[in-house]
Amino acid sequence: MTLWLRVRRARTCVAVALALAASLLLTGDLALPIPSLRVGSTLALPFAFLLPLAVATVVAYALGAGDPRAEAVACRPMRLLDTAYALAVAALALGACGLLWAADVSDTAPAAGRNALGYVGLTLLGRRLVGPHAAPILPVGFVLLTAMFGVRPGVERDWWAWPLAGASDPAAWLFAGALLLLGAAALAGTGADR
Amino acid sequence: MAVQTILRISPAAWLGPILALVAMGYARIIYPATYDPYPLALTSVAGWTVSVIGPTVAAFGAWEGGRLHRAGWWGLPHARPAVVVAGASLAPVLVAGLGALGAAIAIRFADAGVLAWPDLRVVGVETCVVTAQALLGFAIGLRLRPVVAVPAAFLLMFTWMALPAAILPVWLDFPTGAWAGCCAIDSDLAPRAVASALTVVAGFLVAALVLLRQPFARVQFGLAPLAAALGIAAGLWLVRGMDSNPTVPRDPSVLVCAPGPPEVCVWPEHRSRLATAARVVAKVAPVWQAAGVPLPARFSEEWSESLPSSTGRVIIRSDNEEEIVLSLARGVLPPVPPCALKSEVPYFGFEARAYVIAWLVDVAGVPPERYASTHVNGVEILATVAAVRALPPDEQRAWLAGNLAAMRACGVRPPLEPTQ
Repeated sequence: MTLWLRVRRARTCVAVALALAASLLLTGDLALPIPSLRVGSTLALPFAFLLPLAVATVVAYALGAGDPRAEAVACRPMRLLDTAYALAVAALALGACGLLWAADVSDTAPAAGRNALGYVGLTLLGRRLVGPHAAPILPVGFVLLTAMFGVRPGVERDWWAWPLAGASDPAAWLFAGALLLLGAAALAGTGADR
Repeated sequence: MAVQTILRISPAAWLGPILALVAMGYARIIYPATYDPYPLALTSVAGWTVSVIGPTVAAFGAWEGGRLHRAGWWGLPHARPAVVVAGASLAPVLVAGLGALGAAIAIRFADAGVLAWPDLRVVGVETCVVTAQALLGFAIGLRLRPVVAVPAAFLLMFTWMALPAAILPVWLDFPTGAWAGCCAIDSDLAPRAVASALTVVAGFLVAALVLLRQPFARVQFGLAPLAAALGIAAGLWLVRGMDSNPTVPRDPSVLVCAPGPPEVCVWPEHRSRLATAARVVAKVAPVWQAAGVPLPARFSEEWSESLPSSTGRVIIRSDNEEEIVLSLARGVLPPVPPCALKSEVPYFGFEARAYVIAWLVDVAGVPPERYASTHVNGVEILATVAAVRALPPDEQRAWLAGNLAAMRACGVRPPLEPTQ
């Protein structure tokens, strides 16, 4: 298992999950202007909502870092291990954000942790839908889509634009959690990478 | 590469039309620096879409580079020069990016109903920005796995384009080349801003070339960000301390003028209003002169921090004669002295301006309510103007002279009320 963890870039994944928390401390309430086509102006997208994309990307990188041909004939249940690994990294990111929240040093940390769960879920789904090389494009594209079309005049945000929701929105947590579980199920049910 | 092959394998070819649509939508929602049909302002607003186009072509480029990375092709001996291969891979990416930029510019000009060439300086800089970001994305894709390279290229470029706009000072944003604040009709694009954006482009190109260089050593992973960072630092140094917009005063030699006295000069975009403006000037100038108003030799739309006192600055915003009178009234007032921006000596001229403008408008035969109604203290202004107008001409002149003196210097209190 030590070799497997090394192949799955465990140190890098832990470092990125912890770096997410550190970045949240550094960036605070910083928001980037992004075009919102339905509002008809730019939307201030909290940087904290984008940072968890790094966690999703590193999970995709780690899962694709092995030798697919060797893993295809492994005795161990590789896909189940990978699924557990992805869930563990997502949980670590959530935990790191949770610590910031508990220490009362970052208001956006819980939402960032929630987004890490959802983005990892989307990445895992992306592996199934668009292949392992393009998997992180799914969460990146989805965040852009929500920023461009998820907010309307007179409406804070559409129901599906969960990455833009505050930490206290239960539906957003439900979406993120459901996506993570769906992604985990999709990964557990796939064969080896090609 | 055959077009059929490009269409089959290139995400830039599939997603290019969507990018163009997004860029067009984006170009339509950003407020321009002016609603005048000024090609520079229209081009700059459309060019701001480069903050979305650039990161997207970087991601496309990373994907194309990733194709060569997965094949291990770049490190192998090859008959065709590397530039040709990179060019063939990047061609659909650049077509998608520059096509989206062109579509954004076209829709902005069409919306404004302007049939003119876009500003070539802005187009040139945006083209360089898109090309540099595509090449840097390609180089990142060549050296990192696509699973990391594509999102990394997009997010890095997006952060570079968007982050400076989110923090102060404002000039941090100028080296990105996204200049939505350029330009009001009396201003032009600052050469420093152009040089700054091109310096960053140069930094990105050097970073890309460092990554593309064979044989590849790990140190190149360190040198490439260094080159990009140096480009950004040099770009920021070039625009340090600039005002809130990347602009300089527009070249006054393009003004079109009607003879006076006083002469009236407007920018070419306001040419259609010149005849009306000249007629209004001919009508109100003698009236104001008779009332003791010191008139400038020239009313002009030009802007400069050191306009001669013989020039009254006006903006002819419409054909409406009352609007023109109001603009001329503002042009008659002396410019705000530099001391007003410092806090050592108080400047009272600001409060006098509204009263004097209302008085000038009334003298010119336009009901002062039109102007005063836009002010919070409109009732007071109207009452004062009515009281001043009831005075003998000599006392009105003295009231005007006292208020103008307060506008010209710091520490001078204006005699707002005629009894003062």
